[in-house]
Amino acid sequence: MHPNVFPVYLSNMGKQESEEFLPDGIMRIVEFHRLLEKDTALRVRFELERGKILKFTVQMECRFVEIEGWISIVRYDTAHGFAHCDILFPYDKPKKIKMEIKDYNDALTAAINDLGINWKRYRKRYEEWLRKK
Amino acid sequence: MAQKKIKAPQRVVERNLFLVGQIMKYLMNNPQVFASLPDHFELVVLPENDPEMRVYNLELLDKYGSEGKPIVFARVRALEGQDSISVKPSLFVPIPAAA
Repeated sequence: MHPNVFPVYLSNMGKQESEEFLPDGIMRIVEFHRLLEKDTALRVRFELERGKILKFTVQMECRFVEIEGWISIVRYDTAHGFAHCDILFPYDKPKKIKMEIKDYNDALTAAINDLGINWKRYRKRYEEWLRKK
Repeated sequence: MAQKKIKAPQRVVERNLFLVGQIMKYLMNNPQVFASLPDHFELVVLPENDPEMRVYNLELLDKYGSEGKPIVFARVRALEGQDSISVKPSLFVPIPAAA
């Protein structure tokens, strides 16, 4: 085990979690969720092989008073074979904006950085779109 | 009894995204760590040098839970603007207890 990783023993874990210790080089799909504040969360999913990201999705999810549940408002992903940002609309199809970054490791970092700078704007405009129905 | 309202620190989303970004950079520079992580998990970041954020993130976990997913705690010492290479989080991952 890596020196910076420490096990925490839980009694209610299933078999799937018990198979987590895989040898180096095997392709992994990892997904995590991170609550950033009570109404804003980040979901990150990626496929990784030998330290290289093969595919990823980074999506910001928000809760609004107008609508029930968590709503994705912006998503960065590598579907269709290139890194891009999907601007998500409440009542329309997503708009795709190509990211001019070839390396997916760099693109994933850029996606998180962009959310750090622009999340408030993304949230506000989605809220406005929601009210326009 | 009314639930306690959690008071969010200033720029909480930006600060949490910065911490997640630092952890992601660390993981990409140390891909062997991925082998120890569960497939799906809730990440809870506990910055050692930012007690306000540490308490807030634990309060979020306490109030909203992890939707049944295993929780990975990342203790990290990081300041905004700090070089990510010097950030070495300690990750606490759940593993099943022996039957």
